[in-house]
Amino acid sequence: MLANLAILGGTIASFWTVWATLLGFALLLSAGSNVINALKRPPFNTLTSLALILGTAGMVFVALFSSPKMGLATVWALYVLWPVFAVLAGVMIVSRLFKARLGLYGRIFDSPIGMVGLAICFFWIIAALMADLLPLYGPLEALSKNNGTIVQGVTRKFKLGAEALNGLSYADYVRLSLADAAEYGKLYKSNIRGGAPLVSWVGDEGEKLPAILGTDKANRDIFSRLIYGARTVLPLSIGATLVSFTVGITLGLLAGYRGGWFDQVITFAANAILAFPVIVLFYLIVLVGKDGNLSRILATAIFAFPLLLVLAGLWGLYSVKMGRLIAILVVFLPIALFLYLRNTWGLPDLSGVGAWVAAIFGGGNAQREADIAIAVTNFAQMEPRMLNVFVAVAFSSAPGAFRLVRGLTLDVKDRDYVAAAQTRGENQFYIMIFEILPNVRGPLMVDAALRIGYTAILLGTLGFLALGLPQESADWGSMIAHGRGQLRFEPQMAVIPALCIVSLVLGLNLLADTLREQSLKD
Amino acid sequence: MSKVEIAGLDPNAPVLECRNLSLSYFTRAGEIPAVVDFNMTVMPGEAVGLVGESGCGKSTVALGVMNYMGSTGKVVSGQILYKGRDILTMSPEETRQIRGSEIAMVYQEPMASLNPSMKIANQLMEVPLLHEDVTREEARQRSRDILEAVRLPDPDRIMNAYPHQLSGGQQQRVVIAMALLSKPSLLLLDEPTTALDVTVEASIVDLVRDLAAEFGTSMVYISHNLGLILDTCDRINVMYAGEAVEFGTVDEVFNKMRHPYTQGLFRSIPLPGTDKNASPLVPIRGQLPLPQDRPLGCNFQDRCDHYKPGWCDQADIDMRAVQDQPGHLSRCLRFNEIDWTAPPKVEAQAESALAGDIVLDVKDLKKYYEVAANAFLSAGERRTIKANEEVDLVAREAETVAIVGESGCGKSTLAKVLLGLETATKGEAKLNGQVISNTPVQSRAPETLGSLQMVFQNPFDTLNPSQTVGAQIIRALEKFGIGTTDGERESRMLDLLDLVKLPRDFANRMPRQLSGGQKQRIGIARAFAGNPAVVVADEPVSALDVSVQAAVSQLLMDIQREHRTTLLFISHDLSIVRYLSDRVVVMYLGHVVEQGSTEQVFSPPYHPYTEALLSAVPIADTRVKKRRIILDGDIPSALNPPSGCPFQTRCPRKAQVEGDLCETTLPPMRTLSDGHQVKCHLAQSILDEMEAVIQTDAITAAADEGADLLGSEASKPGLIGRVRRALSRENSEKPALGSA
Repeated sequence: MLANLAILGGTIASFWTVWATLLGFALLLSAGSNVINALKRPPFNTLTSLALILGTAGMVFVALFSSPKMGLATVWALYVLWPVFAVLAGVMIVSRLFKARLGLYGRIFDSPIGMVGLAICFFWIIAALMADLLPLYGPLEALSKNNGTIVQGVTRKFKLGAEALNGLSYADYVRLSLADAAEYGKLYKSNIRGGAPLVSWVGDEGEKLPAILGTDKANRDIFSRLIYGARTVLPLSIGATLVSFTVGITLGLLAGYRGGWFDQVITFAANAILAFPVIVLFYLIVLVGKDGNLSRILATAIFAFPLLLVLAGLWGLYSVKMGRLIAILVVFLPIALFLYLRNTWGLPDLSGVGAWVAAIFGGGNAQREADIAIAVTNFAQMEPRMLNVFVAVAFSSAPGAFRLVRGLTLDVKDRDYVAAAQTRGENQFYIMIFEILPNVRGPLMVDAALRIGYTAILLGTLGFLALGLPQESADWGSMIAHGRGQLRFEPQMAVIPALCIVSLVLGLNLLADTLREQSLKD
Repeated sequence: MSKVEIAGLDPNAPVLECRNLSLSYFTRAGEIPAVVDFNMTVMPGEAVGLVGESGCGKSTVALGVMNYMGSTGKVVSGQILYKGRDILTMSPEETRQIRGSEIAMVYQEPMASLNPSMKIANQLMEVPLLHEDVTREEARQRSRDILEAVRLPDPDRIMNAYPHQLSGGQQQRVVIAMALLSKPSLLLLDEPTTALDVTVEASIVDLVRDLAAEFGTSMVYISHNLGLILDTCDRINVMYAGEAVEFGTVDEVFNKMRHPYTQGLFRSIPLPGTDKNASPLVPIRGQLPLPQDRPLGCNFQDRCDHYKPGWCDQADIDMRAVQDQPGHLSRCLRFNEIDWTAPPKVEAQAESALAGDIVLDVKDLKKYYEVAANAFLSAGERRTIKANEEVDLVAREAETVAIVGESGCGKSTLAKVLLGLETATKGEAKLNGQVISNTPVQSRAPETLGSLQMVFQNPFDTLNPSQTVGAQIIRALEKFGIGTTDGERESRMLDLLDLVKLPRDFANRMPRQLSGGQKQRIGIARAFAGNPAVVVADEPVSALDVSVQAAVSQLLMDIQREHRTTLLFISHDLSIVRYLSDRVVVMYLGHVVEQGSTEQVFSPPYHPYTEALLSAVPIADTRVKKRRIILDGDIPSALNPPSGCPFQTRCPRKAQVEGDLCETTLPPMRTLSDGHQVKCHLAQSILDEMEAVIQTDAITAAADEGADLLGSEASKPGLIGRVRRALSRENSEKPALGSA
């Protein structure tokens, strides 16, 4: 019991000290604050730097050794993720070198806080992209008790208590890893020096890395699931935010620019949605519409907006050059309509095509044929439960984007360049999309960055409430839900996925703040 | 709390003295020297003007004097002595005490200076409560008194009003009242009238001058307008690129200037009695150097006609006294060698273009806006804004027709109707015989669009910030149906850049990389893309710096002459109107109150409103004598226009019309002479007796009894008080149309 409390304390302490160190650095580096300026003057400057060095060293010490197990886990994690950090460093250094030519993105590198935010965001993006190349277990892969071999599809019954845990518990891991750490270290080095690609090393049976953070009750490696979790969380939150923004932009531009009854009706509707409790809204969309029709109806409406926005833009731009407009539409419309219909009503049904393709390319292998048939049938289509969540999240954050765009439009539409466009006879779509929209992009980008963070939290909430995404999904919210029962014994199961959400949201917030600050300069 | 102890006022000791003052801003780009080696003394009761173009550091000086430079600004060297004590060495508590009670400041935007959530009374009372040991009743009484002193009608009502319930002019009066409330020794005015209309500006300037005399306050008056400085100041400090380049009395600087920049400034503003064909304006060439690009030696060297290489660019130049004029300083090395009386090098004088056929014909045009009394579910009562009432005007080919009036007079609404952004409620406007007033812009043919274009006022707003300059011009060409291929349009776009005298590689630039004048040139190029028959220019140069103004208006005139375009020139600046236009239309509250040739409108007989407008224009020439006619109150709301004559609520000549004719009957348009029309009830005999407002000849002013009579009458407090009481009801209405 006491040991577990110590582990809990150590987990929290070490992670928060790492973040606090990062934040403290960022704060100290950011010039302009009067307190810091005052501290720079003698005799404070020597004291400050001394305190800074000692404090940082102390924090690192605490992080590593307050809980030796966590300290070791941190070292292991850094080791496993080194390719991610290498790519991250490369991206950051290259961006920093060419920041003068990179516009607003480059100016993020003028602010230490912005760099921290960007690094956090990039870390998750790169980790999600590189997950398959890292020495990780699959997100749904169950481990045997004897670490190193994989037992497919084994789910063992869960019994309460750390000692009774099936699979590899955290305590197991510590025993095992402390004993074998040196040996594994040699193994890692020899493999890398030997030029063996990481991928093949992962595939080699018996040479698996220990489960750094232990396994969950289904015996899956938590650390691997965390990294793979980014693959679920990032595309969903970014995609849903983008779609909700196209809804908000389309309606906001129309309402702000045209005004009148249209504005009043849409604004009223937006306020009504905003006033509705979000969780209840999710229950309605996800549970009431269990047959999928409610979310399909919503998807029909929501996914129409990106399509309409692009069409309106094309019409505005090329209404003076009809030939070019038709040429573009011939290519664009079929693809757009196909994607639209596939993701709303699953039309056209590709199962027949799937069977047909499978018969040709399957080569008689039943497993292979089935795989091909499924792949073709699901081509360019979101999985139904994913669609539920996507639509729910997009629907609930669209009114916020709408209100923002509407307000910005009201401000910009009285500018002289809008009047100039009107006097040369531009149609309203051109004015909205090419005269107004590009000039409100600053606040929109800031809001989008923040809103991706909120969406990540929403996804976490949904996962925690077991709404929406499949239970075995590796998203962070579901992982918190899984781990909450063991919070007293295996705190890292719930705390660390929560910290993942925190870090992503924090990174996006820092990034948004910096974007706002930097776009205000000049 | 008592005031900070400062040595008693010695009439011979300066109130403020800046000694070798250098101020810098420290930004990410490094140190930006905003003001370098600045010297100035302000004696008790004296008004010193700071004049210069934007970016020359004049506002920074004011902020430095207040010791209020923000987190990035810093005094690098020098001293600011206020009554002998260096402000920079004072403790923060002492500076706080001095600000507001000893040194007060009035800013450009009155609305931004007042707290929108506090009643005027509470904002005013704060000053004595904070700086002096007074009771709330006393503070309230003093606040009320000061509102009376700044000639605000009905101070009790204003005390209980919020800032948004007052008009711009009233707000600025409140700000001035607040500044004067604790009887400061020094008042800093930073462009206090730039945001206001001309007639309001004239009354504020009048007020400031009288108050300074009454309270014995010293003033530092910052402005870019030389005419205003002439009206308000005793001595003047001309600034250029962070340095004072010339310092002296108004008379010395205006008539015996000893710095080429000062001379350039005077030559680039139109003076009365000149016109565009006989004496073109002489712009200062080039641009103000950026603070980090300032050359060694004279900052003005790149733009100076008297620049001598190897002499002017060797070392930093100090201010030197001009011989036989003690106190007149110049930062020019060669002022003794330059022939200051030599006439400017003028390019070939242009012949005035002969007006051709009628291009634009507006007859009895009306534009009403309906506004719902209730915003939601807009049924029920509706109110009407009468933006344009009976507008008649005719414009011929190659002619410049100026439309003059204050904000809210309907001149911009007229432009909108012509351009098709609005459709006329009644009446018609014909472009080359074709009725356009009922065709919204979306339904106009590309040729019509191209032949009627507009140049906008604000250079920082006229171009889309996210498209390149070239793309914006090409888009206009596409819409006007000019050129069949992209290549053709591209080459036409480059031709247009040549036309406005900009380098061709500007096509790939973004608007933010251009200066204000360059942006305005692009705006002109875009308007002329479709070979327009008529171009509506809405104050095209009013937002530009003086030296750039001359170049841009010259360019506009050249292009117009070349293309024989009709120019509708919308402006409130009568000096530039007089200089540029062939005919003038004066508008007030949606009515055309006077129109005729420039000569006819600018010489008597006038409509009383024209007379007041002419009097309000600041003129930067000491030889010119003006009759002072100060209009009280503000332009009434178009939502609730006065009965009878629209101008009757402010008309200084209303008493000369018998009975209540002005209140009850709208005057008919009277034709005085060929093409000269006036909408006024004044008897012919009174019109005939009118004297010129602006007298370029100093002698005529003295001989003129009648003019003096009216001038002195207008300044009598008794009459003003009476008129003001009569106006107070109308004053409560703010102009609802804004710039429309």
